[in-house]
Amino acid sequence: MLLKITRASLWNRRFAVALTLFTVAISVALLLAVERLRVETRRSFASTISGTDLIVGARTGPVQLLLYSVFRIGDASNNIRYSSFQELAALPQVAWAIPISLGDSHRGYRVLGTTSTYFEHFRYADQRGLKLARGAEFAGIGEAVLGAEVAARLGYEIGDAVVIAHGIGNRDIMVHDDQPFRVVGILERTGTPVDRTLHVSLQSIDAIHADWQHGVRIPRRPTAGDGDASREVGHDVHVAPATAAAAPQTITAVFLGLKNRAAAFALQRQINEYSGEPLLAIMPAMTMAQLWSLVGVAESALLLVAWCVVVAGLLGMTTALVSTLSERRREMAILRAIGARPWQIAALLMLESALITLLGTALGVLLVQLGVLLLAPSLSGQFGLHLQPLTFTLRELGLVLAVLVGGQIAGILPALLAYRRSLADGLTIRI
Amino acid sequence: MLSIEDLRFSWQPGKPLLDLPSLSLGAGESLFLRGPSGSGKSTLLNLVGGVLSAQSGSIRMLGHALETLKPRQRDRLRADHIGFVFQQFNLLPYFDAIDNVLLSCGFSPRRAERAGADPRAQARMLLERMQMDVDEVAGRPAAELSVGQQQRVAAARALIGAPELVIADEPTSALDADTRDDFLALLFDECRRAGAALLFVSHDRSLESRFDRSVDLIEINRARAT
Repeated sequence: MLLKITRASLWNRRFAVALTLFTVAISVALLLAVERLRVETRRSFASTISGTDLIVGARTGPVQLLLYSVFRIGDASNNIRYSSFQELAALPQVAWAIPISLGDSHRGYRVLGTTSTYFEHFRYADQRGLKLARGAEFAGIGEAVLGAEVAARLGYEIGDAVVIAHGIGNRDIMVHDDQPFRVVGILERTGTPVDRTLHVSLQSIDAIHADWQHGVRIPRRPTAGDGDASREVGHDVHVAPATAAAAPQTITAVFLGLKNRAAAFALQRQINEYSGEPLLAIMPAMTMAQLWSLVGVAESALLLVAWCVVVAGLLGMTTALVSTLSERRREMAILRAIGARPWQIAALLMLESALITLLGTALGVLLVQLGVLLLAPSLSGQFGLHLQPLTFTLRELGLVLAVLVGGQIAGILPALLAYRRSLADGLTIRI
Repeated sequence: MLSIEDLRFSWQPGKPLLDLPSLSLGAGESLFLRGPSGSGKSTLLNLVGGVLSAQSGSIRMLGHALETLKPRQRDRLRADHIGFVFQQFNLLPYFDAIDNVLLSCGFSPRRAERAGADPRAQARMLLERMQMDVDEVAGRPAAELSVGQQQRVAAARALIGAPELVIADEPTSALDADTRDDFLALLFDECRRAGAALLFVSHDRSLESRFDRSVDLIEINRARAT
């Protein structure tokens, strides 16, 4: 009986109810969307690198080393000697070692100098390796393999010429245009910073800087990578032309894979105490967690804002219900005369808020599913966020239940008011 | 069936509104209770309906002393044994005539039971006896009905499930003369058929002669006399 009255009463006010319902729906959709993005961002973040047991770079902060070596954010404060890399690679615990050299860029995208070990051993996400979508790995000097986003955004194809700039963001001034690179391969999309990177061989990096030094800029004496603190930040490989084609003098960092992961702690200490030069070894997973604890604040703030919107939506419903009470006093008096108990009057209001919240939440869930279905391709393409359409996680169910409980709490005030008024009004309303 | 003794009620202490030494209504009897607005009749109806309780005195209905009952029991008594018809706005505007009539059964299992195996059919029959074209009004929200039709739906709702008492509070004052006479005739017929006593409150003395008995609230209310 009560449900029938509630249904008819809501339908009678369907326009106003629909507005309230949409408010709830949109706030729920926002909450779920933020949750989706939050989870996916975290997953995407965590899948940036995997399989690498240690990252070694010049002594700096662990988070900074992680940022520039893995996320291509910021610059290395120092390089490490190539000889150190050779020593690391030769250690008995080490299964593989990937040298990387950073510091150049192409139209805002970082250039990474490395060797073929990178394509062989670098892993992301769930132990996934890099795959070429087209072309082949670089084989010699002057060949570049592009990340998926670089190729897609800048419209490069196999065979195109790419000019690399010295440093980051100053592409107009110092361009290695005497040494254009040729695109030989394009990687498949990974959803990681690899997509935004141009990969060349270590020798290529050295070659362009060797020429560069002799071509335009000769203000400094080569210091042969002895860790001079006044040196310019970045790769700045000062190599004599004679040695350019041979092994490079310095690199930026090393990714290490161990034969036995359990050895990571011991090796980390060993590297940190290395006497040859100041080195820092980090375990990616631990430093990632450290970094996420910083980034995670923004994520929590976003979720908090989404919750505030939900609270605002539910308060809107409370307001809408309370404002109907005075025009519905007659209705309440009629029901009282027929024998309805005051709690039944209150229950009517609780039922109304329950129905509005339920329908609003259902609509919100539908909106999110629809939104994900429509936006998933572009999100995946632009941000590397792979949202799964038509899914509903346990956590999302928890959020929805919390909103439903919130809706009932929001219904308490109008119910209480209706209860008190129906007691005071009795069967006849004094108007 | 209904007897009131030494009933005293006041909204504020020291300002008594009602002080009734005695008022009674027999089973099936029709009583005209005359009283202008402000005479305390609405308060009296709320007291009889069990929504208000008096400071002192007693209201006995069908063997129950209202003042000894809990609010829950008084609500039950009202739902089971009293049908109300008010001056206007008796109906839930978004229910159709039949659903409005069935409201009484919705809040009282006893009346649902007394309405027979099919309360909906009973509701239709009552509406037809009230000279409503049921097929025409079915499915239309009550708000679309004329005032005269609404009052007849209200009467049918008060009568379904054969309550012992029908309380009508100025039910005809919103109606014109012809509609009023028709309505009254139907109300009397159906109360008689259901065996319900009728407590009819009005200030319109022209109706008085149709009732078994007539009482002037001003005359019997000692609170006003003094």
